[in-house]
Amino acid sequence: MRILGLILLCFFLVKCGQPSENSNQIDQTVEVRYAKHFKLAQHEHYTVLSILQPETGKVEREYALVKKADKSFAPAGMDQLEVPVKRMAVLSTTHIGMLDAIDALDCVKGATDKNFISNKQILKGINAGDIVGFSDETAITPEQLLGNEISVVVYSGFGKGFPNEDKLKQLEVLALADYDWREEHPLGKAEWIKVFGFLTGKEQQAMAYFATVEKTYNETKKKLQNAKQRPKVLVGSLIGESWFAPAGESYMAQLLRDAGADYLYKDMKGTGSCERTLEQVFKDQEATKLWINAGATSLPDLLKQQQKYGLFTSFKEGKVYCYTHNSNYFWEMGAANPHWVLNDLAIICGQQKGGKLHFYKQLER
Amino acid sequence: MKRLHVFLLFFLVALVVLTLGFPHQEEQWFESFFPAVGKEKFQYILLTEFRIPRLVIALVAGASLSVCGLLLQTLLNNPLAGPSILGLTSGAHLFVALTILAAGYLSGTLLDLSITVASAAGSLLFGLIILLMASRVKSQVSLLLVGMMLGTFVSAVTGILLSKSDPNALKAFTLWSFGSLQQVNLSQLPVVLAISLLGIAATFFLVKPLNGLVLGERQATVLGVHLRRSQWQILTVVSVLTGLVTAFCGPIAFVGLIVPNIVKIFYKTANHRVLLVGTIIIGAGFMLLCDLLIVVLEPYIVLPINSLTSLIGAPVAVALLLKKMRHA
Repeated sequence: MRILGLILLCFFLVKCGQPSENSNQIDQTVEVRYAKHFKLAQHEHYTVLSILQPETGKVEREYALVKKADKSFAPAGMDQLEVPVKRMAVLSTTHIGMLDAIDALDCVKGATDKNFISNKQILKGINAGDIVGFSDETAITPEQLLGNEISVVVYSGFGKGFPNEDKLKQLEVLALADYDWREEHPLGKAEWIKVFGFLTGKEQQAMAYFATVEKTYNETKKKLQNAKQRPKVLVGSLIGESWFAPAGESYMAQLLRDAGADYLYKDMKGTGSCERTLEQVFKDQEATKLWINAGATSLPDLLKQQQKYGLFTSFKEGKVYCYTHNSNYFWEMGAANPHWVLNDLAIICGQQKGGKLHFYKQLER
Repeated sequence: MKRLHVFLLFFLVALVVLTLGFPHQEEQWFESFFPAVGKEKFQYILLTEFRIPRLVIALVAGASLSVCGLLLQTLLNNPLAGPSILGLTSGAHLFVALTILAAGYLSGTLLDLSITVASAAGSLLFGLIILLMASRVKSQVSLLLVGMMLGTFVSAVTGILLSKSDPNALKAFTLWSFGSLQQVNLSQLPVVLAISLLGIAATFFLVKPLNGLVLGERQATVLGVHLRRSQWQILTVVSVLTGLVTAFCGPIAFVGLIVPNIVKIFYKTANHRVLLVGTIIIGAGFMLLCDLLIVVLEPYIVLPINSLTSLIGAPVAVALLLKKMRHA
């Protein structure tokens, strides 16, 4: 009888120690409406973050985001990340913008090179030595990560994995690929703020922030969708022999369409960029009144890059706009705030009267 | 020889006409010369601002780099020498990188001028290093290795410099390093033409030492060639021409290596008066042919000029190296 009691007690204890079958069931899938390269599924004791390969759409890697108290419930076979992450490294300025939007910059202990950062708090941290500045992914040493007790490195994914990822994992440092730059919808990029929200324990704040962005963006878009006068817009500049312009289904082309513009290469197939020669662009741009993202801070600066730009209609009329006067700020805040970019473009296209430009500036003569 | 000159010149003129008249996209043949009604002004701009400057710089770059290649091959008695393979282009590359990084302290016009001067100075410095090495390294292949090492060294140094530079300087240097025949405009053409013509004309005053050097340094001295002075003169001309082309078109590889070798196959002579004329014509024609190929392929792919010259040049260089090793 005593033995039977002991067996029953052991069985009871073992059963209690195991995560319940119900804990593996998805309690709630976090709504991801625009982003295509991540998924979030909330379980009773943890959240599964799935990073999807942009080319195939298949799961590239799964992370169990689990609170310290619930660690025993984390499922086997996937990387466990203790949340909220207290110390992380972010290797793109876009990530800093996302964390800033949800007031979670305090967890940044490693960042991209300070030449590419606009945020004053992060710059101050790097200058004071509280935050490590990494020039690129290959320049990161395990000593720097361990010395700063960094538990996760968020980097812009290129489908090849992070350098020395397996070795870092042995040191309990996880690498997390961010594919926000591969999202084709402007709101898709912004929706990655949810990932940062779940990583930093500020999921409610992230959801609320995105909801506001989505609402503002869609309201502006709706207001402009029936715009009768759509000005023709040229985008991009020459790199070597090639002019790389956003293709017709790209992020930028969508922003321009939503801003009430008639983008010059809107009919070019693809979600990336299309390649033209300078002469081809010169022929195509004759009736184009506006030129954006020219990659210069002033018209003389633009001429210094290529004298022939002076022959362009938009250049002659001085209707050239760019964010180059503060590129870092644009790249930092633009992805998390596409409604600001849209508003800028709508003002440039003459669809919003009397507004003030947030990122863009008309190039001075 | 004269008949071959005339034939090649005729071929070059035909190529010039073909390049100017070749239909871009949906154009008709020679549309720039006979534009449709209402398109006169537009086609005039296309012709004068885009196509003529591009054609002229292609001719200048092809002729200049080929002449530099011929001069270096004779000076170093090495058929595999050329401004790019010996590291002269790398020298120009490094000095332009330094100039662009210092751009914050220089104004616009001064910067343009500085790039050209820096490019020539870089070529000259690296040319001197090669000359110094050539007096110590007897093996021709080893000298090429020294040139390649210089190239690798420059890549490392520019890499470090650029990693510490601000994004605008990084962008300016990257744009320059891509290389392009489209950077030159009509107003710059007189300067480019004047410098290149002067440089090329100067080489004809070097025919005697060049012909002497073909026989080797000792024989050249016996024939009355002032060796040290000639080396300096050749190197100065090479540096100015390489610097000019590199400053305006970016680094262009292999032209200086393959054209003189083709010329020697055609002409079968060591007389540099003949070889120089042939090199100028074939060099200009080769570059123009590359540019025409770029235009023909435009509907499918936009090829950078230095990629195309490397695609053609690298296999030729390997073939020449193998031939040389077989004869060794």
